[in-house]
Amino acid sequence: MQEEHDLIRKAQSYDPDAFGAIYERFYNGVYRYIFYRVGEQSLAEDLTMEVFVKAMEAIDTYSFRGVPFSAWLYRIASNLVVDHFRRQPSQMAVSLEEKLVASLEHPTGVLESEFAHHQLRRALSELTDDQQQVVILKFVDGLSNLEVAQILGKTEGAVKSLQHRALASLGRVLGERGEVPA
Amino acid sequence: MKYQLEHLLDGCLSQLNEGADLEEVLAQYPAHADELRPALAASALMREIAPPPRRRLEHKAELMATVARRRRLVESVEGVVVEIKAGVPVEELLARLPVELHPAVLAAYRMQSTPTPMPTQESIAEGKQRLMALVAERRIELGLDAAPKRDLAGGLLRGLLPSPTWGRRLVTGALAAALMVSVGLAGLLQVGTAAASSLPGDNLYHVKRLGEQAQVLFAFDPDLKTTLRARFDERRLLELHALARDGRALPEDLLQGFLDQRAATPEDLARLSQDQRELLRSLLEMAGEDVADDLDPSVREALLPQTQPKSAPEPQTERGSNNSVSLDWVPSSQPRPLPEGEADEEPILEETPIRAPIADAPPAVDETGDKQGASEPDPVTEPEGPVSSEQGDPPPVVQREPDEDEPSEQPDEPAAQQPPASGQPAVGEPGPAEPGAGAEPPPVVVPDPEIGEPGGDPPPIVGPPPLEQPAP
Repeated sequence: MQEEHDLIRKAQSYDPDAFGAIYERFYNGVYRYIFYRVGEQSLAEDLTMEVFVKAMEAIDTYSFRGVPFSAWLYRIASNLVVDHFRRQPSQMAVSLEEKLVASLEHPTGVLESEFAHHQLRRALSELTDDQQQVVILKFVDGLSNLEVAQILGKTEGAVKSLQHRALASLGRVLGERGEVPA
Repeated sequence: MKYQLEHLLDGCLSQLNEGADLEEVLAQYPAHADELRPALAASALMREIAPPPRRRLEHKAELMATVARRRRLVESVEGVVVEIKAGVPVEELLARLPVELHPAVLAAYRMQSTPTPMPTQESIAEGKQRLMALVAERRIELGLDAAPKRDLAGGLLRGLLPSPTWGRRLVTGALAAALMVSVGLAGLLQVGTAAASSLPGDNLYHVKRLGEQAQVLFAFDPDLKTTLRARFDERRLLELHALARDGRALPEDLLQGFLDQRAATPEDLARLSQDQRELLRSLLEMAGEDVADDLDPSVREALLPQTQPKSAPEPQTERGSNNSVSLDWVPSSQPRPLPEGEADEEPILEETPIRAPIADAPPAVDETGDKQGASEPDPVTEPEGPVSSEQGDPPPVVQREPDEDEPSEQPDEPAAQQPPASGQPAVGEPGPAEPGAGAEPPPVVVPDPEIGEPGGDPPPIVGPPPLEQPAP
């Protein structure tokens, strides 16, 4: 934890090495989170880059007394995703549909994992925003309930409850589509 | 009164909640019965609508049981997630957990088993490169790093203070403004330097004249003002002479202006130095009859005593055209050939001591108004002063030929170049710029260490090797 504090303090002095270390440490997690929320690789990459740019621009405002730095980054990512869908509300559904159709038309050309991503992403889209964030942060990014609670600004109990409802709804949706045994 | 009524109402409601009859309760407070009756009647009506207390307790128990069941489910799902993340086989979980948890177990397993999407390495590298570039830009903006070479000055200025405060911006702005002013002044100085050597007709000549006018304008000492005017009048003559030497057309208005101001009357003419009179005479001979005819007859007679035809070339002067100049004018720092007759009496150098007229001259004032030492030549009477140093060209020179009696260090000089024995001012060559000068031997520059101009080299004197000068 002290190491991360030192890293952040250096970054607040605009130390290029510190920013490089932060980028390498948090990039994959932020990317996965954004990918599952937007469902498109290139868009996820662009938004992930934008997260780190905004983090660099606002690094002075980060305080160690608040949320952890990772949670601060995920909040930026969440806000960017929300802003993106506010600007282009129909893009997510269209993108998912197009990719799904493309994967069905050319199954041999699509990796199985990519197809699984699309199926899962489509099921996740049936959940509420809070539920999506909880399952993505917990399963994709591997965060703890406390970290998820800090990112979402909720209690750990609320996060557990959201997780329960999210998994129950997701299981029901996947079962209805035959993607998991009912 | 109001407080007492509220107190009574609260007591009555308590009795009603315990099952007392409304009329019995009101009978206890006959003085306030009319006021209490509406509120207590409404309370009885509400009590009839609400479920009985027993039923409410049953509802509460049901709610708490639901909450507990839900909490167990939530905790169970949390346990499922932990076990799935720990790698427990999903079949084991499905067999052990109740059916109501199966969807959540399968969903958690699906989430966990789906490969994690990974960005491409290219996008990671490009993103890092872009981020580093932005960080570098931010560091430059904040003054933490020097700017690239194109903004080196700005980077240095920004680096004067540790943080981008307003004070630092103010200092930076002031320094930048000072730098710009310095550059501007340097440019003006360069223009001024170039203008100082300009001649009538040159692009920068008006700058030179404006500078002179400014010097006169800001010379508050009347004596200094007079000295400056005299110096600048002298300069006009030298400019005209330089034009003639270069073969350029002479502006008659400039010559006419000088004549009107400084040589309008014989008294004015008497105030001119011998050098000035000789120079003026040379210029008048070149300018033509129109200018000479406008002169006062006495002035004309004094300047042109021989009354020779002005258009006729003098045999001793080289004047091929109207633009060429008579080169018989000698700066005062030069030994000047004496008129005929005088030269026969005494050697030239003894007759015209170099320092005699200069030592008595008042202190000169240079271009900046600083007074020179008493030994400095008067700029008015010393024609080689500022102009020669500003023009950068050697002044008109006279190839003074030694007398036959003088010892000569050039015994092999061709006889054709010997001066005529008539005692007329010798005709010399102006130097390499003059046509025909190539046949002359290289001039010997003999600087006079005592007449050196402040800030400038002493005027070169082209002539024979210096003779041993007798003591005055």
